[in-house]
Amino acid sequence: MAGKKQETRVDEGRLIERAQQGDADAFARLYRANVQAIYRYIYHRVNDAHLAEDLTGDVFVRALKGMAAYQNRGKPFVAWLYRIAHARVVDYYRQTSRRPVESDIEIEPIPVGADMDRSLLRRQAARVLREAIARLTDEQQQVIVLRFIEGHSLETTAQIMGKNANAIKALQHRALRALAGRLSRAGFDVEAILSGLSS
Amino acid sequence: MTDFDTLLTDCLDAVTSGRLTIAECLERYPDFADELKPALQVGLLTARLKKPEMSAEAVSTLETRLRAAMEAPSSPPLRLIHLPPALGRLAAAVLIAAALAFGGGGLVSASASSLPGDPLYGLKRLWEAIILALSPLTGSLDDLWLSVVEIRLDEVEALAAADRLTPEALDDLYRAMAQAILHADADSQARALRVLAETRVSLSRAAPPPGGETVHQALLDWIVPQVESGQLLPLADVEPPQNIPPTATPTGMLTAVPTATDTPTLTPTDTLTPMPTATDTPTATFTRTPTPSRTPTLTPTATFTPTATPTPTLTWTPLPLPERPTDDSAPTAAPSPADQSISTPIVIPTWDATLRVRATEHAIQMTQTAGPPLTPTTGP
Repeated sequence: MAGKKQETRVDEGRLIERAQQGDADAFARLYRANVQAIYRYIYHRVNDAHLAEDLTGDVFVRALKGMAAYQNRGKPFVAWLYRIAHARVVDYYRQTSRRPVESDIEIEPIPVGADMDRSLLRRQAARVLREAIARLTDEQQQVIVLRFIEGHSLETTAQIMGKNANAIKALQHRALRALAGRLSRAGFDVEAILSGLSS
Repeated sequence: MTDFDTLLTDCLDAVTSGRLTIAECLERYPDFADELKPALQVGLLTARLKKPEMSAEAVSTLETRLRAAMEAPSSPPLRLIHLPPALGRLAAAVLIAAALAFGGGGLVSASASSLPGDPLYGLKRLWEAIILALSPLTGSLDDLWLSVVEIRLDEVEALAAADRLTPEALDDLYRAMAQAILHADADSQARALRVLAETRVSLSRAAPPPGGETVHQALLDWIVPQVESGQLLPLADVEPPQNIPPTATPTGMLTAVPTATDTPTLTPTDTLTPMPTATDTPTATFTRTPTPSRTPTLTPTATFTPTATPTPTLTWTPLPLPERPTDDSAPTAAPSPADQSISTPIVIPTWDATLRVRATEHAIQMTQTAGPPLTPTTGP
């Protein structure tokens, strides 16, 4: 497992070198390998598919411009992209003065029953969760997306967010508690939804 | 971090990977079950939901755009202060030579320590624009822009110390920094990060001016992750976030407007048009010797034409140049003019990259708009 990861990292390092020398194919491969992760990261932070596409485009344009200065220090390339994405999202909210208020969400109750269409339940739950995540603080959003949506390890999440693992553990705890609290206050029954998805 | 944080992390990893169920985790840690349960449920639900994906069409469109950007010839060097295209490098070189020949070096030098709002500040910015326009003759753009950032930072610090910090000064710092990072390469990255670290410290100390809270915070939010990660984050858009009205970017056109007085004086107006011409340069300010008239003329062309053949003995002021620093750190104090004076007049300097804008800050001074009120010497 570790060997495969190392191999992947070496391949990525070569692609980065080639991209820095102006190889469009190499940059395109880096792009394709990471575009969905960056899109999801942004999507969960802005909760708008079209806007997320636009901002994802901006992230890669910035990455392209910054390739010459990028220094490969053995960290995943996506960590740099996440940082650019984070800066872009912050920038966006600052420029537009639009930001989801850090308040409770109001949702329609999701009926969960034995005859409930599971895919519909999944979609509705996903929508509610996205809204709730978008109302967390910046760092709480980041840790939720990186840990549970992207499935990154604690260490990788720490690298991406520029914190140590213990800080991520504490942040993750606060984020989950905040998210659970918001969902609960909105009448969102997580346990029932989980059962509905499992049945 | 608490022990609970570690315990929760272990349980989350076990639950989301399918090694344990939530119930099994709660059984293992009954004392923490009440706190663990909602966190594990939310974590698991988040992990199980379908992940949104960017449409294949959008992915493909963006890839095409990126490839086109990579394969396109590199864009021409960006100019700091919207120097008009008409003012090419040759014209800029002529400007420098003319400024030196007509004694502008002294004025330019005097503008070194000017701050936004000072009469000579415009001259400082104009010179800056010329130096950038003359890249690579004057140095590589990455070094030049970093020097500009250092100058802007010095200005912000000085303004903050004098309680004169304005949103516009932060705005200028933002723009310069965006350009510096955009042009930074592997060689200049270390210097860029050092400048960013200095900026972070300065901004943390300086309270944002009224109306400048947004750009102040934007700068910090952009700088801090770069300093902490050691990676530069170029912006696609150098426009700073605005909560201040956009500022015009002066380009150094000096327009003399004679006033109707018995003793004619020239009052410069700050003309913020981006289309200066070579003839609207400060050279005229150093040579005019108007004839007193009781009925002064209001026609600038009649009174404001620089003499075609300057007499160097009267007006030329040597442009002081500092010694090249022995390392790449910026000098903390301006070298004394006695150490800097050059003996050969009217030379377009072949500035080295590390000297240029900042190291020679007190020598190669730059400008943006009009200088001080122009009071010509009254002729006999």
